[in-house]
Amino acid sequence: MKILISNTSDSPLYQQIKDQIKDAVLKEELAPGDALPSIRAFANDLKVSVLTIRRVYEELEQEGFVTSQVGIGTFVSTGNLELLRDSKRRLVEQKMLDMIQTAKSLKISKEELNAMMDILYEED
Amino acid sequence: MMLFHLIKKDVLIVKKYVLIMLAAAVLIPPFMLWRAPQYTGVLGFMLSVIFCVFMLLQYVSLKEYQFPKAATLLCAAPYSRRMIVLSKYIFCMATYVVCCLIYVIETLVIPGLGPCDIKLFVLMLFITSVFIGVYLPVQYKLGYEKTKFAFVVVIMASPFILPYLMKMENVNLDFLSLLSPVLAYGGIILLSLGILVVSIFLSMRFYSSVDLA
Amino acid sequence: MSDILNVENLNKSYGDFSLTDVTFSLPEGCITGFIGINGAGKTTTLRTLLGLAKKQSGNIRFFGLEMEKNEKKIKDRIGIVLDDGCFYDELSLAEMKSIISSAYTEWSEQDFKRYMEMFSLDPKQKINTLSKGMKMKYALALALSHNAELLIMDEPTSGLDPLIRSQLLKVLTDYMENGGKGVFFSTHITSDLDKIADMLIMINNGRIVFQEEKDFLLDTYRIVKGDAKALNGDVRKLFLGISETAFGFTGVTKQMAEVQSFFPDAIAERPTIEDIMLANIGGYKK
Repeated sequence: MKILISNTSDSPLYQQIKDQIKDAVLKEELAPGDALPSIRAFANDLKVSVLTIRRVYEELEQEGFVTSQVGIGTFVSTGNLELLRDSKRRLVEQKMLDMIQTAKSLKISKEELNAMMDILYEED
Repeated sequence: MMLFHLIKKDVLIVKKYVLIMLAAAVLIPPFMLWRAPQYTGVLGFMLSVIFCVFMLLQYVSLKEYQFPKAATLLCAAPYSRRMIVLSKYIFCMATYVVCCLIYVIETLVIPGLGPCDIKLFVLMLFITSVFIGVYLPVQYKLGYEKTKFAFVVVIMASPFILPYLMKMENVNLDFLSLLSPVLAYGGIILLSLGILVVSIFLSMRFYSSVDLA
Repeated sequence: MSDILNVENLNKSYGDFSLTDVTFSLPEGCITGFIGINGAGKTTTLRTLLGLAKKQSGNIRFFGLEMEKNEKKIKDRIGIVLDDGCFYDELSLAEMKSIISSAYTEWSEQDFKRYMEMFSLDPKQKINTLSKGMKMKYALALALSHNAELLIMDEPTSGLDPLIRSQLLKVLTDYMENGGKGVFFSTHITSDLDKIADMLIMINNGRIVFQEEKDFLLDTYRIVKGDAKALNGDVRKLFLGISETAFGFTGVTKQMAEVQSFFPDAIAERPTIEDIMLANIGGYKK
């Protein structure tokens, strides 16, 4: 799992970490059941406060991405495929909306957009 | 027991001087016997107690004064201020007891050194109690520097003052021998203990309101 | 997560200086830095917390226990490192240890030996032969060898070189990973805290300025650099501190969103803890 914290981003530290973990789960870089690092070890490695990691884990748990067991650790939740699939869909939708907005502002028509997508989809 | 370790601490910080004082306790009585035989062993014993107790107390106080933050660390640990105060008193009284023991042994070993009777020990118990009973609370209240000057003077003067006092001593003791010995000695012992208790109470009071270094 | 220390309305004064209504708490599992300039009241606060100096008023609770009623029990669970060693310098390390160790119910000779080896200290040497850094390590060895739950340190790194400071930070993180419930240390060397602090409490002139999570501070404060021409009275109020040159201004702000509306082209950077500390005492000048 790769987590890079940007010093110049406007987004709060805990948000950056949380988003990157969520990404890793959705992209299946982290499999269900995988253990996340202990709070303090993670905090040390990322050079952030334990309170930040604590918040990240708490919020990820609330949102269903991880489960934590006291004394044992925090793990990627299993059996949440629906949620993941929905999240993934929403991710794609969000990107499509961005793309459409940009296209509109550049006055690219829907037909052109579809043509572009056909070409790009075939590339791998 | 924590108290024991605090006393041990006092011994540790004046390690070198303890040995010197022991030597003094051994040498003073026979020396005084030789130089002032008219007082037999009494003067020697009294001087050895005064010298040892007071000098050791001075050295311990000096070391505490040189390293004031050490007491701070001790108080930050579970040692209570009361125990620290109490340990000083026990340290002094233990010194007194050691001097007594050395003297008793010497009276058995050195010919002509005496007397060795309870009158002497009770008297010195009283004098020692009065001395540390006054000195320690004063030191806790006013601090080491202000106190030491006055009392160094007392110690320096004691070899000269004592013989003078001793003449007065005999008058008092004659009076007391009218009472039964047990009552008289018991009374003085209780009085000494009473002085110490009051003194300890005062010292603890003074020390507990001081802001440490 | 319960608090390992609660201080409420601590007041103490002596001479010209006073602590006024000092209130803060240490959450469990955190390394908390206590920052302030020299003379701000850090040492006075620590001394008063530990009963080494008398308070005029206020409530102090360690591990949920009232300090006034449970002093001995509490002190048994705290490891202390005071600045400047606080030892009888003429004693050997082993002799001083024998005095300190007897005060604690859970002294571990094994842990002590391990730390002495780790720090390359010889128990037979005299304390006055130690350098400042070695004395601090020795104090740390003593503080960490009785299963203390909370470690309190007063300016442990002042006067020490960067190597020793980083060694100390490593020992602290190990301590927290192995049963330590909290570390509270006062310092004016804020670069150490950039690395390991979780929570920061700042004091100035005897009053608490803020208590915040370190990351929250780093997320909220920004150093802004922009064109000085656009600075007017209203805009200046958004900054805690500004320094200007002929080439532009640099300012520290907590209100980045508003600042951005005035200076859309300005450069914004995350501050260091030193920047935040200076900005809060009106001393920010780059």
